[in-house]
Amino acid sequence: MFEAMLAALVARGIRFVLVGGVAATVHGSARFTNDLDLCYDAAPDNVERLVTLLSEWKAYLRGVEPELPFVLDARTFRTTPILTLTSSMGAIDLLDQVPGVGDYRAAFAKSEPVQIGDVEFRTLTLEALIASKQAVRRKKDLEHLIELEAILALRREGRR
Amino acid sequence: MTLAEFSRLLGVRPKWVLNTLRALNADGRYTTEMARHLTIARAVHAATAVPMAESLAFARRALRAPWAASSRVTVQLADDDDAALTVDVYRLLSSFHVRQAELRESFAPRARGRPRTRRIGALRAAEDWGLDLSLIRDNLGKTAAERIRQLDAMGQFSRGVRRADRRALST
Repeated sequence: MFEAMLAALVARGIRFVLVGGVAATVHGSARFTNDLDLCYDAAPDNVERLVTLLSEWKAYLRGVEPELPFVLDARTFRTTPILTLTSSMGAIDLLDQVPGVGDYRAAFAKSEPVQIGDVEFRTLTLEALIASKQAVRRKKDLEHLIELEAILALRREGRR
Repeated sequence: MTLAEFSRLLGVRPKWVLNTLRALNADGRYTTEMARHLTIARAVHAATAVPMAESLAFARRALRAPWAASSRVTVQLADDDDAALTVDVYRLLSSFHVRQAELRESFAPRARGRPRTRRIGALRAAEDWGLDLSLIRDNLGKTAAERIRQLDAMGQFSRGVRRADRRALST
C-alpha cells in the first residue's frame, strides 16, 4: 500500500517530503501506522498534480460521514493546512507545513533521500521528525517521541 | 466538544468563539450544528459586515434552503428584506467538513506545562516507558525498503483481520 502510493506520487512528479509515522518507520520505528503523511510543495503546478492523482484515487475526507459536501480542488488545498483523506489506495494526510520545521522548502532542507526499488523520494531526517513531535506536544505523541529519541541514541551508539 | 475543538472546527481563535457566543447569548454551545451555522454566518459577516446575529439568522435560512441541488444559494438577508445574498453553501460546508475530518482524525490536546527535562538517557527512558528496544535494534538492521514493506505487510494483515471481523459480525 505505502510502497505503491509513494511510487505513484513519484511517477506523477509530485514534490513532497515524507513525514509522520511512515517516515518514522523509514528511520527504524517499530510502531504501526496506517496513514501516509506528506508535506507537499504548495506551488500551483504541484497542487494540480496532487488533485488529479487524488481524484483518480477517489479521495474523500477521513472520519466524517460519507457523501457530505466536499470539493477536492486547488482552492481547498490553498485554504486548508491539513487534509486528512481516505482513498482507494489507503489513508493519506497532506500538510502544507510541518510543525517545528516549516513549509515544504524548510522540510526539504531537513530531509534525506530514500530509495525503494526504483523509486526515490525524500523523507524528513530523524532529528527534524523529533523536532516536529516536540513542537506538536500532543499527549498521544509522547510514546512516539520516546521511541524516536531511542532510535537516535541507538544510531549514535552504532556509530561509535 | 471543548472550546479548543470548537475553535479548530471553525478555524478561529478561542477568543473569537467566546466573544461571539457571548454576543449571541449562546455561551458554551459547542455543538457541531452551531459550528456549521457559525461557519456560514462568519463568511457572511466578513463579506458584508452584517452583524453576527443577523448573519447567523441568514445562515439558518441558507442551510434550510435546498443547497444540495445547486452549490450556490440566494437567500434574503432578512425575511422582509428586498436585498438577497448569494452564498456558496456547498463550498463553505466542504471547508467545514475538511476541518471536521482533521479534528476527528488528528487533533489531540497538547500536553500542558513545560516539557520535562530528562535526567536519564533516551534508551533508559524508552525502557522505563516499556518499549521493546530489541524490536528497534532489529529494525535498524534492515534497509528502509524492508521496513516499509514490513509495514505494508502489517497493514495488509490488519485489514484482513478487520474484514474477517466484519464478516463474522454480519453472519
